[in-house]
Amino acid sequence: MSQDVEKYLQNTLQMLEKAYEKHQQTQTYNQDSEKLKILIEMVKEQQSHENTGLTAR
Amino acid sequence: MKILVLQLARLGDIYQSWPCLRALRRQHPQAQVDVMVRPRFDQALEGLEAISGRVHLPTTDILSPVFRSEPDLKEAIHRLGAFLKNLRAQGYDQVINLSFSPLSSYLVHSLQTKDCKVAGYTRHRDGFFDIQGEVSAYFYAQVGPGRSNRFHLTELMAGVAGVTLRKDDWHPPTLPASSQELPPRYVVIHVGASEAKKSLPPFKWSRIIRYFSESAKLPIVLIGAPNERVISEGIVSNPGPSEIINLVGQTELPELFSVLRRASLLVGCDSAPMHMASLTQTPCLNISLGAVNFWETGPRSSRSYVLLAPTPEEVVSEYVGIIMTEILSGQEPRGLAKYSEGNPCYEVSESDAERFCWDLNMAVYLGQTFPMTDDLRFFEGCTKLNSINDLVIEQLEQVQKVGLEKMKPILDRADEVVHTIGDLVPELKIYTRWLKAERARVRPGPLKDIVEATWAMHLSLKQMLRPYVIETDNVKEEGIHG
Repeated sequence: MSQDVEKYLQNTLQMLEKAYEKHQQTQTYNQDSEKLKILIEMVKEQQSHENTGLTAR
Repeated sequence: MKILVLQLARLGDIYQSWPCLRALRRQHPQAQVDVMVRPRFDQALEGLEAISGRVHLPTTDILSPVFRSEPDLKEAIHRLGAFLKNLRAQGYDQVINLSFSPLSSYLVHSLQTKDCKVAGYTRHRDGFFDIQGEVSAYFYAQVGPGRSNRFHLTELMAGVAGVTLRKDDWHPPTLPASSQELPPRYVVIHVGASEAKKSLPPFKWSRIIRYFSESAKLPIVLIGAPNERVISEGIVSNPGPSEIINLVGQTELPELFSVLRRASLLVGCDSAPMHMASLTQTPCLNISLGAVNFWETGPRSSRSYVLLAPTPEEVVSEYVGIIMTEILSGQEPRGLAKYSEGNPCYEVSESDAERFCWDLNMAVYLGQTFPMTDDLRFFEGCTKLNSINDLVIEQLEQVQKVGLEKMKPILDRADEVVHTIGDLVPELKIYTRWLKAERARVRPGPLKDIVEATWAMHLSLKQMLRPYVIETDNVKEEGIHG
């Protein structure tokens, strides 16, 4: 993965994490929080490659 | 009945899910059993008769709005919401998570409706990580490289799903025969692996083939993905006496079943074809490199062996060539882990320390007798861990009287010390990881309930440490309440 792509993913991740923090400042954990968490995890997986890796590793 | 199984890992893990999915079908013959996979790994479900449907996790579609030059978070959330809503509308009675990843835990919780039963990783209602089921808790705590688990991944998946495997759950699919013309007898070599560091370089493979050819005259069939062509080209550019048929990049994944089923032996590293060979019951020589835990992901066909090597450089080509010949002639190669029916499913020569860790695991999880050791370091570590654990129990008793806020810093510090002890004495990680998994399972609720559940957990730890606690004048075992 090129450094540009890595940086782009990192910026996207930061944007999503900020959105999650902002959401949590006014509300308790709910379906919207969970959707943001899912998006965050999806982007984190992109940072290595499009997979979580092997089950047992 | 409707069941959704999440398998969001890679090809090899999907193939390793097959026995579990077949057992699930046997347990629920009339049920709708759908499997969620990533679109790019969908091929690994081809031919699996046990499932009703496939669900693709549309990661690309969901994420594309946030990757635009002007990121559109609302649109991404809308797309994700539509995907989840559609799945919830299916009304699944059971969701089984075989993925063991953070993403899958959030997805499972999002899909959980009122009457839906969940197995595997999920989330509590406050978003904290939750583990449903004893086997999943065991997986979280003890499975992976560098850990002492010896249960095979296929068995663990079955445990998560609550099914029992049978020998005939490992069988190949009924697919059209491969169009490749192959000789009546041959050996297959998978030249790549799931990760580059787990595979051998072309030069090493060439040497292995050369040594093998000196004692056996069987043709060699090379298999692999298109991106592994460079390895195969390196091999065929150093031809030896054996005939080499290079199929790397020329076969679709399901076609490999036909190639493997007719093979006398598959040689390769940690990879999807190795798991496909377990389904075709083709004997394997698994060259297990680095941190791979062969107990969990090794081959499961009879007359299969695992050769352990820390790095590719330490694989001795001549030795591998000899082993291949021995397996083919029905001899028993020495110094390798051998597949055997049972659970755990390998016969190995092992050190006392390795045996101790496994026996301790079984004592903690299955109530077997705690193993003995003369390792003073372990006894001292257990004694320290027990002291900290006693402190936590005392503090938890105080929480009810003085409130959590006052006690929290002490409890947090105790937590840190527990994990530091685990780092200093690796065998103790069996305990500290058990504790971590149990902590994740404590549900959010009134303080009283949380304290009681945590207290019971630490009491159990005290019981499990008891066989190894050194009693001195300063450290006396006392009842929990003094």
